[in-house]
Formats: sequence, C-alpha cells, structure tokens
Amino acid sequence: MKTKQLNVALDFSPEPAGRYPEDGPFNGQRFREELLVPALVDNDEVCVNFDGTEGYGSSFLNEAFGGITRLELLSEHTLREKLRIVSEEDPSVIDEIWQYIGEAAGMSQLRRSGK
Amino acid sequence: MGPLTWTVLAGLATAGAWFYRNWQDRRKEERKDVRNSIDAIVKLIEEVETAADAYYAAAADDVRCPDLAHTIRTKTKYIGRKVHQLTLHLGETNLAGLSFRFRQAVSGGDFDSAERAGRPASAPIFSDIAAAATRLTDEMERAFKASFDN
Repeated sequence: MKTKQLNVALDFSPEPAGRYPEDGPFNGQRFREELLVPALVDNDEVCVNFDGTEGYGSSFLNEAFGGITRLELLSEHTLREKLRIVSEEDPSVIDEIWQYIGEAAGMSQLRRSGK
Repeated sequence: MGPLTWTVLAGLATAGAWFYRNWQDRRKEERKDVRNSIDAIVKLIEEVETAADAYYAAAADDVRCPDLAHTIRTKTKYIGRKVHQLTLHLGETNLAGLSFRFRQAVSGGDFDSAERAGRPASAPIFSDIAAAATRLTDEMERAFKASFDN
C-alpha cells in the first residue's frame, strides 16, 4: 500500500490563507491542485497533517477539500477510502473538512441529476 | 455480630467515606478547571467576534485586515483546541460542531479574499457571527450545568 504524508505547515506554508491565487500565494486552490489531488491520485492513502500552522480560515479549507468533490475530481467515496486527516492542535478541523467534502458532493450530485 | 465483624464494617465505612470525599474533592477541582476553561474560551470568542466585525466592515485593501485575519485564524484555532479539551470533561455535547460552525461564520465565504468589499453594519454576516458565537457560548454553559450542577 502506497502512503503519502502531507504536512501543510512544512510542505506548503505555516500561514495558508485564501481560496484563490489572487488571494495570496498559499491559497486553498493551489494546495488542492499542486499537492492534494496529485497525492491522492498517485497513492492509496494520503495522510494530511494540519498541525503547526497559525490556523485555518474556513475559506481555505472549503476550497482545498470541498473543491475536490465540487469539481468532481474525486468522489466522496474515494476520499473516504484514501484521505486521513490529522489535526491534534484543533480536532474540529477534521469534522469541518468532511462536512465540506460531503456538502460539495451532494451539490454535485444535485447538479448532475438536473435538479 | 462479633467484634471482628464490627471492625471490618467500620473499616469499610471509613474507606467508603474517604473515597467519597476524595471523589468530591476531585470533582470540585475539575469543576473549577472547566469553569476557568469556559471563561477563557468565552473571552477568546469575544475577541474573535470583535476582530471579525472590524474585518468585515473594512475593505480587503484596508491596512488593518492582515492583522485582523491573523487574529481570527490563530484564535479560532485556539478555540477549537480548548473546546476539544472541554468535551473530554463534559457529557454529551454539540460543542465540536458549534466550534467549527463558529469558524465557518467568521472565516468562511470571502474571508481572505482579495476581492472583498467592506460591508455595511446591517449586513447579515454580522448577525450570523453573533448568532454562532452565542450558540457556542450557550452550549458550553448548558453542558457545564448538566455536568456539574445536577
């Protein structure tokens, strides 16, 4: 089983912020496109460690993680199988991320069914 | 009952009283610690709410915004951590959910967006933030009462 460890503070930035590139260099879209999705595609399991940063805005978390299912890059089912989230400093981040993934997956499903 | 039985019973009663007293003392200490934690979290919530109100009233290019955004990110993280520690002492609560809903209220939507415009005082985001703060605070108080004042 191929596993990849991603540490947001070390591999990306200790100060991640914003959704889009115009919001700043360490935005959620960039994290998703450059680190998260490639890691999920290339590995059986990806463990993302959130500790060590100054904290997260919901806008960053939503774009980085909710964006995966919103853009239908990977399904919620695949994410449940592959994605492991570690956040000992603030465990509420874990529930929040899964909520964004689930919500965005639900919206995508509604869009597909034409409702 | 013979003297030996009385001695054993007296010993058991003394041990029982000691354990009960010890449990009560520990419970009192725990109550005090949890109360202090809740007070600290309420203070942090108020600080984040104040920062968020100032942040969303200002436009993205306002010089105060980077510091306000930093305060919101760091203190909501600390709130999340302290709320998680609190849940270990309290019974069944909805604190985890309300904690991240508070973060959503203060740092969702166009938080950190370069395009963000300052909002008028009547904008819904201000009442949403106040409501999320109140729900989190109320739930901590409810859980505290349910755990320690019954």
